[in-house]
Amino acid sequence: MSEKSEAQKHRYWVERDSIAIVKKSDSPSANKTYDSPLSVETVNLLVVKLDEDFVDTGSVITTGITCDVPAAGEQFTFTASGGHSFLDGMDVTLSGWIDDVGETAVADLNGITSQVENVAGNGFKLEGVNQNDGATILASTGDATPTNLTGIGITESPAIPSEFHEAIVDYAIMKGYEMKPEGLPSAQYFKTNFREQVSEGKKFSTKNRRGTTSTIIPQDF
Amino acid sequence: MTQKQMLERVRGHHPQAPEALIRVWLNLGLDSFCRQTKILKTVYTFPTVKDQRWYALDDKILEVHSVDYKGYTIPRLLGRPELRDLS
Repeated sequence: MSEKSEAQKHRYWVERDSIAIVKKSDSPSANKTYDSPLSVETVNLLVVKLDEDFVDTGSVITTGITCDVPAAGEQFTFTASGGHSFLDGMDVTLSGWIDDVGETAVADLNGITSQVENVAGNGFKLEGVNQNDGATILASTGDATPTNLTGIGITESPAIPSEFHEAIVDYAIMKGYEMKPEGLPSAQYFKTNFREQVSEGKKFSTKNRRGTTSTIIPQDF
Repeated sequence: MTQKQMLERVRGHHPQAPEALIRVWLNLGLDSFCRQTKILKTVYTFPTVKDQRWYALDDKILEVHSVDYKGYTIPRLLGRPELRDLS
């Protein structure tokens, strides 16, 4: 049997945010039954997708953080006197930590990646980052860098064509005006702008390389 | 337009709004635009695993247009097999 006909025995369907790939059973008595794939093969999905999210990567590397000296087994409390942009649940990696005697790297903290918790003002804690028994760390300073921020950075642009970037701005301005009653007429103005650009975006999306749009012509029968 | 430029444009209208809130609005706008226009299309590639039929789809996928298996387009199954297999 040719590779093509063998491959085309496969079927797919989408359910529960997953895709199923199956192969029609070879057994002649097993009509309409399907098996899971029997070998490792490459699958390509041609999809419509959302753009990445905008993320805060501009002020995220926080330097000059200090930490207290908790008792053995107690959790460290970190303080960024200049403020920080960490949120609970964000993963951060510690680096550049030295103790207050100077020059000595605090090996126990450098390189640790953990989840931020208990954010309160300029302070925060890191899950599971505790003072070790018998290895007292002196008061220290260092840096923390988020590690799980993926998306459109502060100096990056969305993947949608640049002529539609204004639509995103219009939407955000609209949301701002919607928050106050006196802003509703302005909100309506920006909503109309957004809708017009969505309409243009739909046309752009269905255009082919010849510059024409795909249309379905109704037929009488 | 970069995210920074977008933030500044919005802040021109809403100077009191915190940056994090403006970013939420921008993300809502970007999602809404992409959902309505279906403007971003791409290809995801993954290998099948022996005896495994279900594969999680990326959160960013809105619609699956077509599927190739070993490079050949395969049809979408209408309905689902009578025998349910969750593996």
